[in-house]
Amino acid sequence: MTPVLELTAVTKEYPGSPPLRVLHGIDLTVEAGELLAVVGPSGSGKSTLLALLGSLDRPSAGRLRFEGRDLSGLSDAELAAVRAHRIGFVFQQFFLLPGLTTVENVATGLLYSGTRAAKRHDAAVEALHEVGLGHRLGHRPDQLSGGEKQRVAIARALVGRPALLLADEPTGALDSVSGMAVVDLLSTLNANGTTVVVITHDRDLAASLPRRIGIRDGRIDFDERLSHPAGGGR
Amino acid sequence: MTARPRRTRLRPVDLLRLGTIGPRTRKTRSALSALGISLGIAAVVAVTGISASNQAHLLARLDRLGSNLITVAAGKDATQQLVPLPSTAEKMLGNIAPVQRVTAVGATKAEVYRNDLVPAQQTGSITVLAARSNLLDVLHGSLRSGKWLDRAAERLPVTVLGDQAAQRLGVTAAGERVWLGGEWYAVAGILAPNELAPELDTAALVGWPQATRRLGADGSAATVYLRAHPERVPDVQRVAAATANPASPSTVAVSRPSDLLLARDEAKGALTGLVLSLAGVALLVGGVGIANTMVVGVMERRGEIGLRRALGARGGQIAAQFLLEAVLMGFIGGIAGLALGSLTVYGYALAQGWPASIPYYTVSGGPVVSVLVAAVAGIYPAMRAARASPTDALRSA
Repeated sequence: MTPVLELTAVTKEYPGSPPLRVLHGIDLTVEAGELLAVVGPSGSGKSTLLALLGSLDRPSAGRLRFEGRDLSGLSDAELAAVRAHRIGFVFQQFFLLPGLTTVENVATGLLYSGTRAAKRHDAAVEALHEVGLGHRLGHRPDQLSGGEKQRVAIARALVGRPALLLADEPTGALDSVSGMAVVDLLSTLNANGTTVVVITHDRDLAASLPRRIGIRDGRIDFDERLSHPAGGGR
Repeated sequence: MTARPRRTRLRPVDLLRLGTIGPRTRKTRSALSALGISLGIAAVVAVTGISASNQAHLLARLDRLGSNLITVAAGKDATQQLVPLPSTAEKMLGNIAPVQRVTAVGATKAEVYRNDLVPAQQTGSITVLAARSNLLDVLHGSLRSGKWLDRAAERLPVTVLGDQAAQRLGVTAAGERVWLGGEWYAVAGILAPNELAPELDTAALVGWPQATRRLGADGSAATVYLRAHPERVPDVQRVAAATANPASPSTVAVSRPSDLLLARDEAKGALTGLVLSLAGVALLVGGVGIANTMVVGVMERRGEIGLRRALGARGGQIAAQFLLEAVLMGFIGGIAGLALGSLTVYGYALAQGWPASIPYYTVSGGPVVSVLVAAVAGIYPAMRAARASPTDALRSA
């Protein structure tokens, strides 16, 4: 089966004098159905890696294949289409739109895929039931707790049924109980077939996932798999 | 997945809804920005509307008074001496073919006072004129109170006062007496102001026979009023001077009062142009206000921009969203300005007793201009929003 992500000698440099090299020759393969954590201290290059994995940015050198396709050959508009149809994002800051209801926020996840409004709405309601927020459909973000907000954001990411879900510090703004609920939710989504990459500096969170990739100074520090992940039984 | 990815599409109705997000979630700020542009539009509508209403009123008045009136009056010669019209002038002018009706007022030697105790030099600048009995009719004049000089009254010590004359004499209604030419005269009526013959506003009119007999009128006309065939007015104007005084046509003053009124109105129009350009500046300032709001909005909403890019929005779609927001603010401002300006025009016209009139081009052009101004104002912020790198936008939010 084709891997979801395949990075070969991927390097990222930011222009300047001297140019700032953030990632050095990253080789990484993520198979479909994996749940993995990318861990590392601040400034290690985690967020840059996430941007590359999510096609928000392009590598300076090296090759990045997503579902077997070399992304370097795609135009900006085509990359946007890949994001719209195949990739879901979850951020530490949730990024819920304040004026919209929960359903409208989740439906925004399908806005750029050309789906009709009625269909977007139905899919959003379904996704909200899936994350356990079926009773919060008409609420606005300021009426929700932090954990609920992140679950809304996860619903927004999964409403388009992406092949890859990228979560950037998804528990960073949450207390431990809400954080655990979010991790459980991500695990459930993964169990249902979604490939999930979680970026975190939380070692406990990372330890609960089946595969961990450590990043340090823009290089892969370690890549380890647990046969019996600590959080797997929850 | 071997086919190239389909480009993302954003339905127009979805784009329209996106454009309302900013204004909806930032109501006060958007309303204030829209207010700036609406004041500009309101000013334009009010200025053009008031000017148009004024003109409509004037044209309606002229319609009623008739624009075919020509006045032929005694003018001055080279030494600034008043040259009276010859006594034949009135009759000769009446013989010009396209002239339909003729009437005249004649000078007298009398003065008029409130009563016999007022010192002789306090004339109040009121002239006593002999009036033909058809004067009111030919001028399409009307009376504020009382009645016009009838066949009996024109041979009696009876007078009709102009509007201003009555005020200066302190006469408020017909039936009072004034001291005129050393006799008591009964005031039969008071004229309503007449734009075509403003000189009658400050006159006391006495019947022609009475004035000739008692007030020293010599039977010749001071001013002759002609009603000409509407399409032959210029022809009549051309020959009137020579007809009235063949000996010295250059000392005869011929004018068409309706032309003077229109010319004065056009002079007022020049002022309107100045005010209009000020309103244009207000509109421009409104546009700058929208640009400012949009720039701040784009900076504040970097997170939203980054998120939308992550959800698959292209830069162009982000730009369209923000441009549409600006345009919507401009449109709302334009409509509000139109309403505000129209209210002003209607209120002003009502207070002045004019027919309210707003030029069609401002009604349709107002919102269009405000949308254009807002669109121009929105271009730069929209481009900024579109160009923001998604990773930077997400990181700095």
